[in-house]
Amino acid sequence: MLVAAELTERLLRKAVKDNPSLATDAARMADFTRQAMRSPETLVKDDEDKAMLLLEKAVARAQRDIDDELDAMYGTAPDAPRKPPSKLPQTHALLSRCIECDPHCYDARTLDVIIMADTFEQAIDGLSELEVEARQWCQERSSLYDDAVADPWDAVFMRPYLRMRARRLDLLVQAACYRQALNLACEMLDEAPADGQGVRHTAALLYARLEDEEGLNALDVRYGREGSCWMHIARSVLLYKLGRLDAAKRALNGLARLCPGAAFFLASPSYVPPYLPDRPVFKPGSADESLLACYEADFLVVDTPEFVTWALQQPNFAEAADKFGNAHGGEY
Amino acid sequence: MSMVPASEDFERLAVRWASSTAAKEYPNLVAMLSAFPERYAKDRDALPQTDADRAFALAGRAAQIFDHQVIEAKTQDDVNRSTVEATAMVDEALKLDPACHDALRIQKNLQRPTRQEMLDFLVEGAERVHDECAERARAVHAMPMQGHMGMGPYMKPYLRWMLDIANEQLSLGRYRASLEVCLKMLDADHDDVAGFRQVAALDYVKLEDEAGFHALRERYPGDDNAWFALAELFLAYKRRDFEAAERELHAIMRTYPQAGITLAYQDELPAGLFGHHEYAEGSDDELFIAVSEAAVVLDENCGDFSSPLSSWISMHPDVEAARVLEESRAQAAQEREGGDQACL
Repeated sequence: MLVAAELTERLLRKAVKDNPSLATDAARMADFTRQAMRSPETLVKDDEDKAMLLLEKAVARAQRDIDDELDAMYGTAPDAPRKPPSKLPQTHALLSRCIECDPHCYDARTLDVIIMADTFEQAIDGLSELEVEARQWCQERSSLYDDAVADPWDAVFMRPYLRMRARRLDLLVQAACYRQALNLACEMLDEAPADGQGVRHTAALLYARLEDEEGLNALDVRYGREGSCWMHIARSVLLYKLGRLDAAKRALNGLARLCPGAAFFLASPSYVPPYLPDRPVFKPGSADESLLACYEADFLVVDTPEFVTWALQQPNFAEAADKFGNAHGGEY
Repeated sequence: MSMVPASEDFERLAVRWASSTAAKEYPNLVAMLSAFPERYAKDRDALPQTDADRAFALAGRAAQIFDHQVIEAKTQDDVNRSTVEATAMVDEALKLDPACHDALRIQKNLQRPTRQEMLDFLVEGAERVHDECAERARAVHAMPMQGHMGMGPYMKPYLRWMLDIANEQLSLGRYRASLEVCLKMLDADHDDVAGFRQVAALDYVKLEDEAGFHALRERYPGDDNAWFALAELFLAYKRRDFEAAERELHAIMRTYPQAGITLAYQDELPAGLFGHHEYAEGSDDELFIAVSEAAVVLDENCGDFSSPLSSWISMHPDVEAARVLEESRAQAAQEREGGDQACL
């Protein structure tokens, strides 16, 4: 999430609400947008938007803190129980300021629940409890400012709630509660079918993990066989798991051909910082997409321990991995 | 359910003896069978047996050495000595009987194949192993009746062969394939002497298929084995029903006296070479072995760290308290023993 971009959109919605004629005046609209992007602080009037300004700082701080924490963690106990990045004091202080400024800043509250939880159970329960309230509030704000939209994701005031659910989805996957995760993903896709957050990608991986071929096919059809990197990975692994190796090879060829870098990233898992507050933006069909998809698919791939070994025995896949590795100075 | 080489050797020789001329001295079957244990105890080697029986006995002893002595060895020297000894037994077994299925399985394992190679080897041989076992069973008129394959000792090597297939598939992340083998074998052997139900329970957990697991449990009313208990616990955790998970945890701790230590450390043994590692029902060993085999669930999605489920169990306050109590009890017992020895 680019906090600044979303704040711009919020400011614009509010301005139009105050002054409907703005919507029909393209020149003034462009001026306003420019100003909102360049110096939003001059346009921010209420606590809700002030909190968004603070949130931007908190998110940047969270990324830095997590990097530091990971550096520290990898230097120490290998048996340390895995838990969400927790108790980042500076991030927490910044988030607390957001929440003080606007108790309904649900992006801040989502992050705060995650970083302050001692265990996955606490983080998941915390978000679960908060969701009811977040949903109600966001719906109210949205009905006030957002135009009638086809999909909840298009309503900018609904997004903090939708993001909160997406983070709970990630946590369920990390806690290996796959059936629960899949149920939540399906609920989310019914709630916001246009799926601006890419929940379907997570769902594809979950269908593969639970060896539900029918479910995976139905999902693929529902989204017009768009051929995301997630879907290619899900299909390759699922067919491999089901022992249909010829079909798996075809799926793997598709993956190697259509998803730049995917073969390399599967063979050599790369680090991606946690999604706070959401999955980074990527260009469809780019190496960025492959990197994210392979990172997210890790839970599926490590659960199928010989999949990568087998994949590297397939000439096209190995060649794609080599080529990408050579071009980008990496090895696997 | 676990299998024991020594009892299987006894069963094999009993079956062969019953079909041999030696048995004709007895007036009836009951008299004959009641005389057998004494004969077996007195002079096993003098009983009628084929090279295949001798090979089986050797392979069984080798499996015991790998599953017990090698694992429990204190020094690397002991490990090496036991390994050399058991490997020689496997080679000897295959010299006596090139079709000794247990020896073939163990020998392949000793070559350290990848899981996929091991699985390919087992799948390739499965049909042949079945036919050879059946042929041998028929030769001594001991072909078990349909649906009770485990009643005939000569069919048991095939059960172990298939159990290894199911286990390899479970480890490879091919849960439906593993389940398919288990369900087929549970139909072939209603008594399930090999313990396919335990592997199936873990498959259902991995697939998070509650309905499937409960249908499995219903086939075995009254069986509260540790795998079933753990599967209930895991499934409750996965559906985030912590009350139920805690209930299961407490039930496990009531059943197995050393549950605190076992659940806190969650140690992992190498896979048994003669089916599941041997255990007495309701013993601490049972839980220990079940937890070890459940590593596929406990280590799920955890990278270098322990998984949330594994930590939830090991760091549960009741598990922690039980562990401390068990350890202090064990220490006290050790000191008492030490004290006694000092008195002597």
